[in-house]
Amino acid sequence: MDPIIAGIAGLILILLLMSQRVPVALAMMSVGFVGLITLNSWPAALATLVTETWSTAIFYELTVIPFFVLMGNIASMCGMSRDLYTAANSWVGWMRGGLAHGTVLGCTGFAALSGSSVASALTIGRVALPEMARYGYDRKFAAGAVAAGGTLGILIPPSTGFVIYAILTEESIGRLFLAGVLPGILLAGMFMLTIFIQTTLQPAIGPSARRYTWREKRDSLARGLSIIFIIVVSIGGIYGGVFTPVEAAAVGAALALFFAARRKMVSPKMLGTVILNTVSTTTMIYFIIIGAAIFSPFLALTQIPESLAKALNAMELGPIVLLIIVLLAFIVLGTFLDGFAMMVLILPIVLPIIEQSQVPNFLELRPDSSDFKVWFGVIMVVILEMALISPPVGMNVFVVKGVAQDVPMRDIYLGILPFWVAMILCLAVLVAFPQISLLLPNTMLG
Amino acid sequence: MRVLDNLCVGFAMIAGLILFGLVGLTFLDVIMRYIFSSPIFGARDVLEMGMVVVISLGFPFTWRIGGHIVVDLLPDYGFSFLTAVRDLFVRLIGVVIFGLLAWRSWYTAEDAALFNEKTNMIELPFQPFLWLLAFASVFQVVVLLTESIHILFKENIKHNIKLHQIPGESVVQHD
Amino acid sequence: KFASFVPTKYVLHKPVFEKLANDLAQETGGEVKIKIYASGALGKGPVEQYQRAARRIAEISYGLPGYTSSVFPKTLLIELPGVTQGHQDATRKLWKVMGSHLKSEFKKTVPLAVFVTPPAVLMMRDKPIRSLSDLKGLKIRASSKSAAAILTAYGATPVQMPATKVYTSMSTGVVDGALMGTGSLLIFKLIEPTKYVTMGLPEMPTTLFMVMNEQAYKELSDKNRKILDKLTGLDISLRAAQLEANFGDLGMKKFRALPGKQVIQLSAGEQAKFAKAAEAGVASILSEAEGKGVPARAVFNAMKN
Ligand code: NA
Ligand code: NA
Repeated sequence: MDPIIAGIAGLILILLLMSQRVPVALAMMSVGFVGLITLNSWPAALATLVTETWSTAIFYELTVIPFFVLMGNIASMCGMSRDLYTAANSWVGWMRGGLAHGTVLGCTGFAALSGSSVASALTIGRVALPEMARYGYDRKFAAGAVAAGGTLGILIPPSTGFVIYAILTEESIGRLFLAGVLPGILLAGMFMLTIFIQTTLQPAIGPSARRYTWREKRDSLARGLSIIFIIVVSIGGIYGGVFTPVEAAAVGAALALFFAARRKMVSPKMLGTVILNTVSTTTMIYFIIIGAAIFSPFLALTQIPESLAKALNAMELGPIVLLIIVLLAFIVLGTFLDGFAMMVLILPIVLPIIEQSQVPNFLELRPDSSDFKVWFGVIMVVILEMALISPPVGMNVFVVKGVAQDVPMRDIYLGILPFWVAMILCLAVLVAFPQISLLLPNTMLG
Repeated sequence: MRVLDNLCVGFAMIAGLILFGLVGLTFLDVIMRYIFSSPIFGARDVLEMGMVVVISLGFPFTWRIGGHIVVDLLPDYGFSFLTAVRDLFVRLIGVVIFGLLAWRSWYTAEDAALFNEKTNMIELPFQPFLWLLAFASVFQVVVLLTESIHILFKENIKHNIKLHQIPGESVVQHD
Repeated sequence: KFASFVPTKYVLHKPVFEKLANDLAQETGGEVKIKIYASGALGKGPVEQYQRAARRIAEISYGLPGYTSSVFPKTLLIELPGVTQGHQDATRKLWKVMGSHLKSEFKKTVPLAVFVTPPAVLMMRDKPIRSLSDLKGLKIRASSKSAAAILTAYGATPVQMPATKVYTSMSTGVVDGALMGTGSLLIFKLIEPTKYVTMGLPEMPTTLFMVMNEQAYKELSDKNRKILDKLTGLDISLRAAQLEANFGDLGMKKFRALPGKQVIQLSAGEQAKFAKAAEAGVASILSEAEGKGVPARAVFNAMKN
């Protein structure tokens, strides 16, 4: 069969299977497998199935995922999200829209403990949404702040999004983690700016909450100290080059367990919950990486990425136009596809196209260089964040809906809209100034 | 189904305990390297093989709680008949893929013995871990077949697992 | 299909891989064609490369036996200190014992090329190594179990980590240095964190291979197989080794040209001390291998003499 036709058939088949609720990873495995039989051979397809499953399972660098997931789970279980939110509120809660500012700050802090956006939205949402309701915050506005703030979870390290990107592109996990820090802070700042503008225009949607006494401020900060300690040691350890990401994750998880034990929060039931949740998240992520690893040799044999890149190059779109088309395509796909699914499916096709275009030159980044891939990783993750909150399918929206059952979906999406605009702006800034993403990895890891 | 679910939870628990062990080992490795300047020889080998165990044992549990990423491209069918057909179809694909994986892992395990494949530093042999992968795949096939039978007899296949969900760390698909 | 895990800009891609593909297509009149899938398109990473050929995911693959050292106990003896003098010598020695000892290790495959990189040097971030005693207690990245044993024999503490992590670990002092081939100066950018390079240690090269699936090899017509045999083997291995050596020299040349960098050549006296320490390490490695039923001493002696 003609490889390109086989490839197109394969992509259509994948979409068909996914629409019938075949798990994304299983769809990629089966289409990749059948495709390899067609374009290579039956023994090669069988061998790829086992070899890629095995080599993914024993992939040393991937161990950051279970370790950081474990750390996040322990942190959630022992009330660290509440501590973070309280600490943030004691300082900013008195302002107009203060509880929303506190939500974003709390999410930023929690993002440094957890690799998942959904987790950030849920743990902070559980604390923040009732609090904002109590002070008469507009429900749309409150839901938007939680859903958007939660997305920071995959931009600020640790981040499962960056780990999967790193595996797909063979880029360094440590560099990507560091690259996410400044953009994460920038985005958090833009969210707070959004809140400021909204509450200035409509003061009623976010009244000020009570002022905390100095004593309360000090105590809440003291409680937050253990969290800051974990973050500084683990993420700071990567920055300082003291640990590899895998080691940092193990140290973070061990410290989280230590603080949980000191708070007397460790019980068999707590450990059981932590174990089952960690194991299920870990296998879910490994499964999708295995699916991608079996699908991508098929994709390579179809030569679709090469042919598409050639065709697009022949069209001689300017770099800006090409980049905008690609980003728009990702944003549109992200509205209905799961972010990870989108990344493992589309990135292997799109990355070579951009690499071989004028875009890297235009940004003064060497194509095929680490800088280019790291920068694009940050862009990719911001797009994943947008996918999490865009209709019709946005995990973070479902999460917020789960906590605030009485708010209609339509209202949640309306509340998100201003934050979504802020993300578009942030994306534009990150494209215009790749240095923001590259500063930390380049100063520290060279 | 209930027996299977209990087994799934049991395996996942073992997987989790091993994961705790791996965290502990890596933590110790770091401490030993910095404080005593003598890292644990072969820690990485143990980590690599340990993760094979974690993934193998954790997989059926994750399947049972619907923990894998599923895309909702189309709205749900109204008819329960079509839904049943679709659910059976998903499981059929799963049976084929995991059946093949089980068969080939077993075969590869023999290859590993023939090639004398071991980890690089402390030479843990690959073979038993490939056997475990084969076993886990067979178990997954059993789970899928049991689910299929339940669907055929129009019984509820929702998991009986009591899971105290930690907010959101698991992206769980609720059906 | 030729599976290569390295990108197309890799030093061997054009002059060895592509040249072989072109020569083969030309001499067989287009009957045998090789398409190269670079950058791990058929499966990522160096570790599983041998299996990719053995299981016929690709007919030919390029990789390092050192990543699966338990599979190649005999071939890897070439990497022990004191066996070889230079890459040409090492590659010749490999092929000298290929038929009698090594071929049996390449199960389900046929070795097309087996060769070595130039010997490993000590790359240090801030501590110059002028004598054996300078190494005492320092944390040095080792690439294999044997290298770890030799480093222990030198009095250093071997640290295990993937080659791609050495850059970060050296920049930040997680390790004091690394024992690696000069090619790593450029490939892994170690030229930046390294301040001192010590040369003249007992030679420890790194082995590389290009293997073909045995079944696929047998399926070739007699005529085409003869052509392939002619194009592969010792000659292509020597040429590849030379290219690797040139690349390593290029790295060293660039290193010397940078300000503040220093190359240390061990004195004859120190070389002897290193050699003596290494001997003890080699002896223990050999007897351990013998204990596992590998005729290590016989192969070791056959290679050496
Ligand atoms: Na995070
Ligand atoms: Na979406």
